[in-house]
Amino acid sequence: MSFIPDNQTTVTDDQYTPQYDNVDSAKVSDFLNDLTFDPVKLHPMAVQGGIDFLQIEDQASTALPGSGRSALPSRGWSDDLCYGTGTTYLAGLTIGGAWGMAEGLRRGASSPNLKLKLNTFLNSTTRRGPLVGNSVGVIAMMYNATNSMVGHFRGHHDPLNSAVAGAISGAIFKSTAGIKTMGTSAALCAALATAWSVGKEYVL
Amino acid sequence: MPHAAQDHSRDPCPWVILNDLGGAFVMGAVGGGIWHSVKGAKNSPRGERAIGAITAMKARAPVLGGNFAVWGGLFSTFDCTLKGLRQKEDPWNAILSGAATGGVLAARGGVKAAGISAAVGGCLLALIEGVGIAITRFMAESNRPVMPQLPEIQPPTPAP
Repeated sequence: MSFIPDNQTTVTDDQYTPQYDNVDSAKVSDFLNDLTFDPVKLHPMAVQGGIDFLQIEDQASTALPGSGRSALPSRGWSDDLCYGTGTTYLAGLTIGGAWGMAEGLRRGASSPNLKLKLNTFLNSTTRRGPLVGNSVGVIAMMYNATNSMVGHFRGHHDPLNSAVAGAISGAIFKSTAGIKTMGTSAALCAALATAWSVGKEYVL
Repeated sequence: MPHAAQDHSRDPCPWVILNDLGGAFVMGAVGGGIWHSVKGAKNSPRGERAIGAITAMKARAPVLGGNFAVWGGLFSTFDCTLKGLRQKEDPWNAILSGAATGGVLAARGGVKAAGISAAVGGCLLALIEGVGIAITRFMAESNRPVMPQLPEIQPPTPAP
């Protein structure tokens, strides 16, 4: 203790004042700089090469190049199939339902009471809606399946795949109605499919 | 190190409705296609079996796909709604959604028909969920954690 010199017997007030400003006193930086962080001591798992945190990348979208990212999540062909078919079916159902609703309102305008009107309205909606929805859903299902298969064989995705897949599904859909109808349907579906796959890059 | 117990195979709630709708449609259409083509082939005169199969399939399979799709979409919508309202994920969501779907799909036939359909839907889903839970418990038995062997610790000797 250096407060009181050895040869002094009494204590004065000055000597009792704590010497906080003394440069000899220890500062925080003195002992912080000496610390070395040994990762082994910090956490035993660090020895094995560290902890792998949540790996979201391994579930990312398809590995095939050119598949691109869009608003609809897609991790592979099954996702494409389900989302594509689901969206198309729902869209077809809505459009067909709207068509049927318009038709039902027109027909029901001549009915005398509300119950008949409502019944006509519901009948028309539920006739057109599912018909359009089902047909469009089947085409979409075939399109997505063939698109994935063609993409798998070719090794990458591009609008040509979509066109070919659209043509095939359009042809199969009308396959019992004759060659000419098949051709028209194939051309129409191929055009729609190409427009969709090209437009998807820009819109979604 | 394995992932935390988060299932990344199902998408988050609004999108999963579209996924389930599409999946159900495909199951219904493909299954219905096979079923109705076999049925159409069986019910056709000899020599016309192939065309009979195709005609039956074309007529009935999309309808079945559509029915399955509507059921699946409604079920998934109710499921997501319940999850959002209750802020929990447990089998009750599925059971109540099944009941609600059955009720809504039969609503046009009156309250009694809707009630019966809801009860049937709820029981069916309770059955499915119960089987799912039983399978999970059975699988978990083989993954019991093993207690590590601790070294024998000598009790401290008292100070003299």
